Amino acid sequence: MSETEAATKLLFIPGRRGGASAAAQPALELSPEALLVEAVRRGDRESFGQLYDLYAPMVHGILLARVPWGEVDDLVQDVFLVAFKKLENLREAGAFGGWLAMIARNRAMDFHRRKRETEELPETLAQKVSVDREATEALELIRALPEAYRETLVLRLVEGMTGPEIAERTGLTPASVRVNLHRGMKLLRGKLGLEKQP
Amino acid sequence: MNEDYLWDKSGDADPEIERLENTLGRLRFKRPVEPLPLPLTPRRAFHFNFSPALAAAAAVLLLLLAGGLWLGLRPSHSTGEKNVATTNTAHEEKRNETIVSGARPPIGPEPPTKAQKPEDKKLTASLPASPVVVPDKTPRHYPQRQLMASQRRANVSINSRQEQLASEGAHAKAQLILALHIASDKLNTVQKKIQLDPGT
Repeated sequence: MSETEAATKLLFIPGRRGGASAAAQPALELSPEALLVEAVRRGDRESFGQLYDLYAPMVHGILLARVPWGEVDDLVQDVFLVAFKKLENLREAGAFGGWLAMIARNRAMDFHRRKRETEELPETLAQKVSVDREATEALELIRALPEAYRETLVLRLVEGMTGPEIAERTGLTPASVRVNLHRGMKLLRGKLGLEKQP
Repeated sequence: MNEDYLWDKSGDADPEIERLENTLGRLRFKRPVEPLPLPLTPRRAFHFNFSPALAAAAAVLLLLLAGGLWLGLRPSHSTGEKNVATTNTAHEEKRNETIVSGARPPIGPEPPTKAQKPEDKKLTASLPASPVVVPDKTPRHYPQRQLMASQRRANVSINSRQEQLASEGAHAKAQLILALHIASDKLNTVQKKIQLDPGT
């Protein structure tokens, strides 16, 4: 079992959704991520390291669906630094995942805004490390899909997360994740030429 | 397409999805060797938690303050009284001025002037007997006794007016203090509620 899989199994609590419901729960029923957030707020820096380990794949996937692969690692660090600085602004510790996902999406938007303001470089130059051509081509196909589908598909196919895990981490509803996965996969199959003819 | 496998990797593996997973898995997140360079402490942010109770208390306080100010600055209770008082005061002042200048105030109803037409007489008769100030331009002479009585009336009127103003001021002050007490109590109640239930 990989580190990521172990972490996601630790965090996933069936039947519980992040967000407003977490605030209604008594302090004794706080989710593991909420406990980690509270520990960080009390000054425990090690707990933030654990949060990083647990949520970095999600942030990586969200960024990968929006910005060039070579820029993603730096942006992941940026997102976690911003999250660490602004952790006091988070009202509900149980909503950490959705909050972090929003920071990642905003950071990707900032990246494109700054890129437009400065000189635009070809994407090949931005890729610091050479990657598998087949993988990047498949990723480009996913990134050409509508925004609602590409993030979910990247989290599922690149980061290896399951549908329930994606919903739990990002704060989306399981139903919408399921629909996005199904429709996105159908579109991707069409682009790959794998769609079965009726 | 095996939807269960796509959803939670259960059931038989879909070969196409598996192939995509293997290909795209090369781009998966790899934890960097260097630890995340965290700043020393997270930033302490100021929280303003909107509370309906607090907002209501603030609104009540503002209303009470505004009401207190209005009551304090208002010259009299009603507009009618104010008009009558103003007219009376003006009348008395006019009389005093006339006395000082040696002019005689009118005694009894004003006699109609020669230039007054019959229509004007009808109009004057139909008017209510209200204390209206009529400009007195004709020089008249007061007897000494009437002068003193007039001065006494003027003094009594000024004194009563001052007393009325003082009593109104005291009333407004008492209302303002009461309003501030009520607002203070409400704020204390809200503060206690917030302290008891910090989640709201």
